[in-house]
Amino acid sequence: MRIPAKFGSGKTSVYLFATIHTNGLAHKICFLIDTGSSVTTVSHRDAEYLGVDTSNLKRRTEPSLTYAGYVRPLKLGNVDFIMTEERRRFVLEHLESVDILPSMGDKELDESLPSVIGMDILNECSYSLYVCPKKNEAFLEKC
Amino acid sequence: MEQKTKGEVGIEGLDLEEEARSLRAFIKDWEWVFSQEESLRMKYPKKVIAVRRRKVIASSSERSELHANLNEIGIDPKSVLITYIPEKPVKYLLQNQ
Repeated sequence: MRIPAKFGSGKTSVYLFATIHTNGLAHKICFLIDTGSSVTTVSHRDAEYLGVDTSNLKRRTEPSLTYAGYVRPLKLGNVDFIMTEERRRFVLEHLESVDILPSMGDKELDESLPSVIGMDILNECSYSLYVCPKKNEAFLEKC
Repeated sequence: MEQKTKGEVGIEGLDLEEEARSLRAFIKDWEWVFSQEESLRMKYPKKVIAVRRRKVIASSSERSELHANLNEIGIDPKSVLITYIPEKPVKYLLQNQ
């Protein structure tokens, strides 16, 4: 079973697309695949679109070292991921929690930071990642 | 962590077949954005754009204004691809541990 991923411009980045669903809220997100990231993280911008009331969310106790320095992300629990697959029409995965990146206090940075698929999904859902820019092929595959 | 497949389970309040169709259209629009990155940067630097069916249907410097413009023409902002176009190409050096 393969879940197609897409190359960004210049084939210097790879993206996975999913609708995330939590507590009756749903939003389609373009996730940057980042195997250097331990945790799947929803950007501040995408969290706003999802409509989560972040004032009710707890911050992680330990800080995370991110692309924007040390932050304490918010923890969003009980998240479903709906993804498209080559043969079946959809694949549904469930994560006990994902991180939400707080606002960096800089409009351009908040707009530019992507949501990120981290190693937690690949590891816990048993996916391998195949990336071949030369063949223009990228996908997640069940191990 | 569990994987559920078509027919085994659904999500209350969400038509998964319809969501998958909508997601496929979303992916096609993103592919178009990736392929047009340079020309979009020329036309819409530092703007937020809304894309549907491989066309820019609205743009603005402010996300809130873009949403208002979309609502005015009867389009739900959540139903379209909305993304920020930086002035210069962005290269990512990410880490999140």
